[in-house]
Amino acid sequence: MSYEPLPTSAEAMGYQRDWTRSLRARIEDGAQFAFVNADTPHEIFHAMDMPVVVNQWWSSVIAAKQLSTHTLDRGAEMGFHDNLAKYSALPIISALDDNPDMQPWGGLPDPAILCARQSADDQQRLFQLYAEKAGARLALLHAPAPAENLNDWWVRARDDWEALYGTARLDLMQAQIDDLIGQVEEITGRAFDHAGFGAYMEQIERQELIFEDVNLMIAGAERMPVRIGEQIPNVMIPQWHRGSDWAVAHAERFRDAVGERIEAGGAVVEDERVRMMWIGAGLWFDTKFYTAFEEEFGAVFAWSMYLPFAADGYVRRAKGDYLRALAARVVTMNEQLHQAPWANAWLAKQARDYRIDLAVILVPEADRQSGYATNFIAEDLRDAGVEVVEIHADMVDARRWDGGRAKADVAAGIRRVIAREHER
Amino acid sequence: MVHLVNEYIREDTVRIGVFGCGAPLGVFASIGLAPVDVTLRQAGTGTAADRYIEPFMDPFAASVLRGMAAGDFDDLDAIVFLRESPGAMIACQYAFELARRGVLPKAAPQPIMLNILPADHDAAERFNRAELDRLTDTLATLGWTPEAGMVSPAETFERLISMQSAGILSGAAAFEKRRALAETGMAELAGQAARLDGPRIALLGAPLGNAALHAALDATGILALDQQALDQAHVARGRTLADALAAQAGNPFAARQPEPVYVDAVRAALKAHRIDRVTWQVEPHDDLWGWLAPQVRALCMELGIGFTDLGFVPRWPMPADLDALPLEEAVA
Repeated sequence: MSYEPLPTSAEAMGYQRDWTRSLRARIEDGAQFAFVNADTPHEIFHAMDMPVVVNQWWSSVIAAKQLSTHTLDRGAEMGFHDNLAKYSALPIISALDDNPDMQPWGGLPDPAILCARQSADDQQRLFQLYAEKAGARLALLHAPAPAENLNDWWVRARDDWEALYGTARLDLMQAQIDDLIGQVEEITGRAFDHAGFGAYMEQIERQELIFEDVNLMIAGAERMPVRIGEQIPNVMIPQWHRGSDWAVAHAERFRDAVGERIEAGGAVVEDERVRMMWIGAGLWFDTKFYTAFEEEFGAVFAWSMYLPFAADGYVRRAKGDYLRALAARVVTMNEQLHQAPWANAWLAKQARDYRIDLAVILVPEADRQSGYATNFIAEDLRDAGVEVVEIHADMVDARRWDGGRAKADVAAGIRRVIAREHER
Repeated sequence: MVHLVNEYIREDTVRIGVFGCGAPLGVFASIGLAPVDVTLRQAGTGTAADRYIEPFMDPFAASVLRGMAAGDFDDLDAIVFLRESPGAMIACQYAFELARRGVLPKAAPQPIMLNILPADHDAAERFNRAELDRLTDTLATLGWTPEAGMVSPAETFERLISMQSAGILSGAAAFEKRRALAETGMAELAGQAARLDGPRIALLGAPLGNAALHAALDATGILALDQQALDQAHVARGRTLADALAAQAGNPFAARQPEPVYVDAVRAALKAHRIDRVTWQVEPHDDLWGWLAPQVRALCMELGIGFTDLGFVPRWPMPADLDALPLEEAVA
């Protein structure tokens, strides 16, 4: 029996493709859009009907369209040295290059506003470059660190977020969100609807809890029912439109499709022998890598961060204060995935939940903030009985990708897992 | 060589270190705190922390962690890590985690995260003051009490910049005096004079841990301006807390400055110090300053100033590192 993709996967990708293509027409009709980082309060733009293009999504599309080599080479010609981080920079360089022939779907029109959290050290520099080129407003949000990163963040963050993240940090983020609202009001000429925002936030929570159901279903399935290459678009495209009627409905369709697949006994591979987790952002220029070990080894990538993070990273119960709950959602969003001890503890728990045998860690050495805590993560996973393989490569830079070497390293890890099983 | 920090401080006080470039000495002085700056101290490898330090970690961050693991800072009660300094936040988080795993000695100083935002809007002002309240509360639990009448060494930093620009001090000598000033609060201003012939050079880009590159540039011309010095001097300003926080907000050389003011500040400095040629460098895993390089190059073209990109220079360059650099181009 060959593996059949879920119908919802093509639906999600088609929806986003059509949405992006229609953006230029909407701009020509007078709409204005925001270009934002993934860890910013998209909710404000959505609530005010301002389209949002997410930097890291656009970066993944550039890479998936095999345009990262051209774009990064152009960056070098502009004078940016080659050890700078690539993931968040790829769309900015592409915009500076301003060559529609070398951009997905002819590229993006100029945004009206850009928004980034200063979570990594380079974000203000990158977004200043793009804002100046586009003549756009720039909303940079401070990203101060907590006094100490406390666990179990994924438990406490849902209700106890005031104590977990700290009142001073939340006050600051909420004030910045208030300022952002003012900026979007000025751009759109529309007033922010506080009452409507509460209902919208409840829709988002509903969506994330649906994803949590899917996560539990997949983690608990006897065999892996859906590839991570499909999990990602089914989760992240609705995430970029979170709280919309389409996004919530798509989450439900995804849940139902996964449920039917599990009930019917469907699996990625019939003879599943090894379960793997992919730690890090997607390998966007070579997503076929995820399926490369199924036939030979019965080894399937079961886990990527995107699905389990939907609930753990997003559900922040509002208790009547929706803007503060939004502040709690974004104040530490990305850091939870990359900083010790948050990342290592969460990943070890995820490995247990998914009964993982082998973890593959993507270590992007030119993207420090994404590469930090690798050794803590590897040690904690090994302590949990998980085999670990590190792949030192970039999520969007195809130029330095050695697919043969990476496959050999993962295959060796799989063989170690199988040998260990034989010894038992 | 690593010196124990207590060579420089009194034995009867609680000993506080600070880690991170751009230490806000004006802010610290205004709350009665005079920390020892340990940022530029280079620790050796081979410590218990090394297995957790990724090869691409900020070298200053890696070094302070190695130093903590090796006991180099055991005579400090705490180290304040400056979140706004690249690498310092990660260093602090690693310090917590290494302590939790039992990798750091029990006598290692307590890590304290401190956020001082380079911004002066109302929310930032409230946040910064809340952070300072948390800092002083935490230090108080260690027995620290504020020292009255403390004055930041801002004027001395400014004077060192003037002396370097005037050729009274070489670039290398000025670097060493600034290092001593940051560590001890004192610096002997007399020193080796610079040569007075040759092109006037500015050293821009990433901060460095030693004066080796400065000395090499001193040999090729007049190293008249150092971005690292401008940063140090700016953040040391302020006699009151309000003034000192305003100085942080207005520092164009702050690594994470949210306002696009760096290039204009460089323009002003290049003109004020009559610079003939800019030498630019970043460390090999730089993820910050390199985004500014094309703008600085364009600025130099606009001003008719030479621009030499030295490429990647380690934070603590050794002679072999310098041999490979196009230093002759700096005077061409």
